Amino acid sequence: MLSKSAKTVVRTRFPVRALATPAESNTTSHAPQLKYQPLSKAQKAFLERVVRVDQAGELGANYIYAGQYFVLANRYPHLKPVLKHMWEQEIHHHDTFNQLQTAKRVRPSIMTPFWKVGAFGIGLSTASLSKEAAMACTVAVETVIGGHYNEQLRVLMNQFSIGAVDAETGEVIANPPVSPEIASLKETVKQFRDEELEHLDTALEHDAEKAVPYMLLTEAIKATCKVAIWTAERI
Amino acid sequence: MLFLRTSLTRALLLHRTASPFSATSAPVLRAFYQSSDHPDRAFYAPHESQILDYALTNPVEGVPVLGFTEQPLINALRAHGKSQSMATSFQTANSAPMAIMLYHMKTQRAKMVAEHAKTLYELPHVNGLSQYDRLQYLLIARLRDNVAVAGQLQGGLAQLVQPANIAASLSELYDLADDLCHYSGDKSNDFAWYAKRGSVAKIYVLCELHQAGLPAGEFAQVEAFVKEQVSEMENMAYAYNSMEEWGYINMIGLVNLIRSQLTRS
Ligand SMILES: [Fe+2]
Ligand SMILES: [Fe+2]
Repeated sequence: MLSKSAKTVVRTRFPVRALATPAESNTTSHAPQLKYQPLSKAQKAFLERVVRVDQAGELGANYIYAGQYFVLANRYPHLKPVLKHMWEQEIHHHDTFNQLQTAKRVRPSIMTPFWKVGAFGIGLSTASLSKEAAMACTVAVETVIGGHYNEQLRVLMNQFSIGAVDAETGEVIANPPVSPEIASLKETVKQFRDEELEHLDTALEHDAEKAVPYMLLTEAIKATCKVAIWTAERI
Repeated sequence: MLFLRTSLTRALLLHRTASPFSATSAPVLRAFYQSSDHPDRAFYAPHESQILDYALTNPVEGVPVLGFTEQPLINALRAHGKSQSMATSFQTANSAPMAIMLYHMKTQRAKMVAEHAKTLYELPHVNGLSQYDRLQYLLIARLRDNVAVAGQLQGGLAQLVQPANIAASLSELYDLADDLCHYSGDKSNDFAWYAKRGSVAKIYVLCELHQAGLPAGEFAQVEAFVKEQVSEMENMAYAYNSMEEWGYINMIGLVNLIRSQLTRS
């Protein structure tokens, strides 16, 4: 109700604005259209790696949950909605990076077929071991992925202040805001990191630590994830 | 003069062309990210474009009469009041003829994207077009623009497969295949991404070789050939996992293809 009336107010203001003199409308108009400097080689290479490795990682997550769901959904009905919720979020993550990969013209990881098979296998085998082992797997994966997203965020925060000029006048803008493209990528990474950490909590709430042998399982899977990340960033 | 010479040489010849020895890996493994808010600078500076354009298109002393040789560039430099001695610097890693051929490929690709690819989706009949229809449309548009140098195309293709030029040629062919795939609507996210670019690069090269072997002005035959190739790709429901296609994106296959065709004719 409130938002509806607010909308009407905004709408009725437009005609008033149109009647303003050019000088007046200038003072009320918002920030100038910015034209940003190109990305450096290193920035491009970083973004390329981010899109490729995150796409591959989310593909992996998607397939791990598929494997877990395949084994556990019917055996433990109470886990079904829990797994489904996390799986659906992974599908959304994966779709988002698929779109970024095609829109930004990034080469997907050539290892894609292996990521699919490997991830489905990890999901399937840990879930076959026990439901706790499946949750321990989630703990391991999300720990690595959460940390990885954090590293990316740090670089996006620190290394992407890029110069800009006023698109009309060519005047250099002091301390321009980060471009919408980088801002949106940062938002995406931040949101996904938060959701991965939620998955981590969910897994802990569902007895991940009771898995036997917990340390061996999680450390082995963490190591596997790190190797996969290293590979997917490159090829 | 020295400054101009070095900057021009660097700009025309050394731009993005890694060592020729990295030919096998460079085209596929270099960084690739196309930003929407941070567009790249133009590849050629305006004065470089002027000189190369003159060399490529001048009907009296350019490529149309002299072919892809050193002379058109020397003439262009003279016509623009630059020292002719600069041409000697084109005999290093990449040659003057290659500089002109690369200019032809890059500008025609940019033209295809600007004039055809970006408006392709605004055409009234576009809703009924498949990915393959759009690919065919773009291929024909791109090849039609070869007509200006049609009589000299074989010489240009021969430049591409000179050992010192392979890295630069493959890099450019890779960009072309990627543009053709992207603007025809490819959204593949997995191995098909590689296979499609491989098949499209192969089709492009086959069509261009076919065009090079025909007398200028026979474009209808080229069009028919493109349609044949594209529908073959479509009808075979292309086996995108085929290792052969993967070989073509690794692209050494393309070099061999061009070489074998050029020696045959
Ligand atoms: Fe995820
Ligand atoms: Fe997750």
